[in-house]
Amino acid sequence: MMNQYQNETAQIHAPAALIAKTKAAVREEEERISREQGSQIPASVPQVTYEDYVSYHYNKKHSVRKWTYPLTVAAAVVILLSVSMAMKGILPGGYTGNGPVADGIMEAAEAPAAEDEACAEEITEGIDGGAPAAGAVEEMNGGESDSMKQESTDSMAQAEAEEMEDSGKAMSEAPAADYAQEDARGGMIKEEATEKEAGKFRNPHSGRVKIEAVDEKPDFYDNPDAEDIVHEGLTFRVLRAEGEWAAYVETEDGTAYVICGEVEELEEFLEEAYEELEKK
Amino acid sequence: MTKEEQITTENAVDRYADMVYRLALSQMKNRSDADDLFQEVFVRLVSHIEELTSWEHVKAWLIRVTINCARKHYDQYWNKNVDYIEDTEQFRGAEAYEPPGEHPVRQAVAKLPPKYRTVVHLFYFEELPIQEIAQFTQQKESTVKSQLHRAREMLKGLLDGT
Repeated sequence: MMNQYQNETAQIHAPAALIAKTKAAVREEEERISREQGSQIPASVPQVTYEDYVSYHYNKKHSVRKWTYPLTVAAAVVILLSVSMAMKGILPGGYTGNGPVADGIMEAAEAPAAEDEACAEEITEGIDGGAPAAGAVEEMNGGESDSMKQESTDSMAQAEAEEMEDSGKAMSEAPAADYAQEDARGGMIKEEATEKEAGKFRNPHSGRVKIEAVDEKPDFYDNPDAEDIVHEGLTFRVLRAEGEWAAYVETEDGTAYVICGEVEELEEFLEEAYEELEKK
Repeated sequence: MTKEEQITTENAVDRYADMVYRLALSQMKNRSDADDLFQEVFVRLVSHIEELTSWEHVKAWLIRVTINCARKHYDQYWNKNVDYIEDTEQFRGAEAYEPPGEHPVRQAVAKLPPKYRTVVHLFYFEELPIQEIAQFTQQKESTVKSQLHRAREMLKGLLDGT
C-alpha cells in the first residue's frame, strides 16, 4: 500500500511554469535584499537615534562642567575642616569664646547695655545736678536780694526776671556738662574694664611678696611671737608684725630665705612664698 | 564545488522543487494554494540561504517551513471556513488536492486529517525517520508513532471501503 503511495506521489512534479515563476520571484527578492543592504551602507553612517536626541537635549539642559564636581568636593572638605577645627577650638575666634572674634561679639553685646546704664546714670545725675543748680540760683537770688535790699519793688521784679533767665541758662547748660562728665566716666569705665580684662591674665599675687636669700637668721627668728609652720614640706618661721608677714625658711639645698609680704591671710602668704621659692 | 552544487536559492529550487511541491500539495486544499505555498517557501529561503551550510540543512529547512506555512494557512479564519466554488468537486472539506487519474492510495491519504497527511507523507514518501518527523512537526516521537498508527488504520478502512 505504501509503495503504491510512493509510486503515485512520484508521478507528481512541480510545473515548469511554477518553477520559472518562483525563480523570478527569488531573483526579485535577492535584488530587493541587495538593494536594502546597499542602502544600509550609507545608512551605517552615524544616524541620530531617538536615544541620542534625548541624551543630547538632556545634557544640554542639565549641562554640568567637568570641573564642578572636584570643586564642590574641595569646597565641602574645606568647610568640614573649618567647622571641625572651630569645634575643637583650633581656630582663633571659634566657639570657645576666647578669641578676638568672640571678644568683639561680646563687646558688641555689652556695649548697648553699657550705654543703657550710662543713659540711666545721665538721667539720675541730671536730676541730681538740677537741684544744686537750683540751689545756686537760689543762692544767687539770695545774694542779689541781700545786696539790693534798698531797691524798689520794680527792681525786685526785674531781678526776678533776670533770675528766671539765669536759671533757664543754667538748666540749658547742665546737660552739656553732664554729657562731658559722662564721657569722662565712660572712659574711666572702659579703662577699668580693660584693667580687669588685663588682670585676668596677670598673676594677682605677683609683687606682693619679696624674697631674699640670707646667710644668717633674721632677728625675728628668736621672737617669742614667731611660730613654725610647715607648708609643702618646708618649715617656715613666721611672724606677723605691723600688718606684714615675715618668714624665714631653709630649703633642702640649705639656702636660707627671708620672705616678706603684705598679705592678709597666713595661708595665702605661705602659698605665695612657696611660689617664689619655687621660682628660685 | 561546481556551480550547481553551490548552495543558492535557485539551485535549491532546482533540487527540491518536486519535494516542496508534493509536500505543499499534500497539505493544501487546492493547486493554487499549493503554488502560493511553493513560492512563499522559496522566497523565504532567499533571506536564510546564507545560514544553511549544507544541502541536508536546506532540505530540512524547506520541509519545516513548508509545514509551518501550511499550518499558518489553515489557522487563518478565512481558510478554515471557506471553500472555493470551482474546487468543490475536487475537494471534500479539508481534504487535500487530489490529482486526477487513478491514484487510489493518494486519494485515500488526501481524505485524512492534515496532521495525519503530514506524517504519512514524510514517513512513507520522504522516508524520514520518526525522530526527524517529530522535530519538523514539533511533536513527541510517541505522538508521531501513534499518528502513523492511526493513519494506517484509517487508510485501511478507506481503502477497504472503496
